[in-house]
Amino acid sequence: MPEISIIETKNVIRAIRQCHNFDFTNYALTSLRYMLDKVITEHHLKYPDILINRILEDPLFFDDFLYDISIPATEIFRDPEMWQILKDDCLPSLYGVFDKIIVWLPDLNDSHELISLIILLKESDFFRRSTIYASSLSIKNIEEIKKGVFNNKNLELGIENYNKLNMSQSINHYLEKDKTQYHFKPSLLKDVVFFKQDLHLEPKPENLNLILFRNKLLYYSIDYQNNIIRQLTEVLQNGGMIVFGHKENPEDYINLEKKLTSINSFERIYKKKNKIQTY
Amino acid sequence: MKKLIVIGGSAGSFKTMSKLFKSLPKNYPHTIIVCLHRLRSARTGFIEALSMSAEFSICEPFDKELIRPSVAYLAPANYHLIIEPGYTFSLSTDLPRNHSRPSIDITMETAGEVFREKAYGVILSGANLDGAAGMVRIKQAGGIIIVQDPADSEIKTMPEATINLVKPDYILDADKIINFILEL
Repeated sequence: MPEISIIETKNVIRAIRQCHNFDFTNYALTSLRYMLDKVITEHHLKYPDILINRILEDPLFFDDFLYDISIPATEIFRDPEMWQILKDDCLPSLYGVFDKIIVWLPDLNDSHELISLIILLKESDFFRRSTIYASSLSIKNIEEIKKGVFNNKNLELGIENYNKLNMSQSINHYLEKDKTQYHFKPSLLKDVVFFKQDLHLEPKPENLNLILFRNKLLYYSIDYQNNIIRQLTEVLQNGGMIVFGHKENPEDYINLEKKLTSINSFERIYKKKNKIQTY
Repeated sequence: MKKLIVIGGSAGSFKTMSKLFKSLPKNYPHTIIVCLHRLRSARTGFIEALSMSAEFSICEPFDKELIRPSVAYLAPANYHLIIEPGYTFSLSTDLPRNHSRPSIDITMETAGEVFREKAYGVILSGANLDGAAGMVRIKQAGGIIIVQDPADSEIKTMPEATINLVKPDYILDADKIINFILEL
């Protein structure tokens, strides 16, 4: 089990709420405990109480905390079948209706999903007709993402995923090497609008056509998941699409609110209905 | 509360798992969680292969799904499977542990914390150390741990890793493990 106890976790949550007005109460408890274990290990803190002291006493520490608590995506083009559907069906459908599409990737912890989307848009020749927003809890995260930095341990797997997608360019076209480390060309990211968000995903861009929010709901409690889905649905335009992780389960909300219709149930791709049906 | 049996395995364990599921009756009362190391990209096919000729219900859980008795849950590919208080699952895409995601350790240690003396841990054949630390946690929580006899294992690394770390309550060959589970 996680090293940090439930009581210690609640003390950390209380300290953060008191000092920074961030409320982690809505996170799934055991998942949050593992995330806190990471921070404690990363900063070589002997006890959770020391973490609490740092949070309370060091205003500059909190952004590091948010950076270290975040869980990165596993690799680029995770679940290549989903990306294939996005490329072959969803994007042509969206661009067939809208001249320009506005995309948001909330709560980004690294560049994997963003780079995957940008490459897909470039390969599909839709990039120039796109505005991309990317937000993160941590400024440090944003700075890292802008540099195109990623965990090179995942590169081989990412290349394997990429090669399943019948792209015209080799992945090398999008990579640079700096001494021993690969990173994505920062030029890929120069037109992305980055901003810092809070735990409630505020501020939110509006009139969105596509939201990628894969494997983020996982870390919230079930009640708060429904709240998040509701909020994201509200900022989608009618006909806009939202994508969750394939083992996430937004179905309760969807069946209750009936504002989204399923495009691909296995890959958790949904479309906002043009008309809201009432019963 | 029924018992929870967490079975971890890797290379060489599929045959035992398959035999177990063919043997389990439809109304077997306890919950089984299977955490097998599998290809990250193999998101389908595993359930179908395991449940061939099986009467017992086997599925992959979704995030925040309730843990029910008389069901077997297979940890989904490329996610860790966490047991939360309140008897629900949480999934996570956090870094691999022991090069593994799903990690047997993570599932077992959280199972031990929530199910305590009702938790059973089983380690089968496999080629890395994943699961050993999890088995320690189950035992510390008051649960029972069973290891496949290394002499009976196709690859003994995983069973031996557990035996080197903690004294199992039972060391059994595959058929005896299956009988043990059936008779719980």
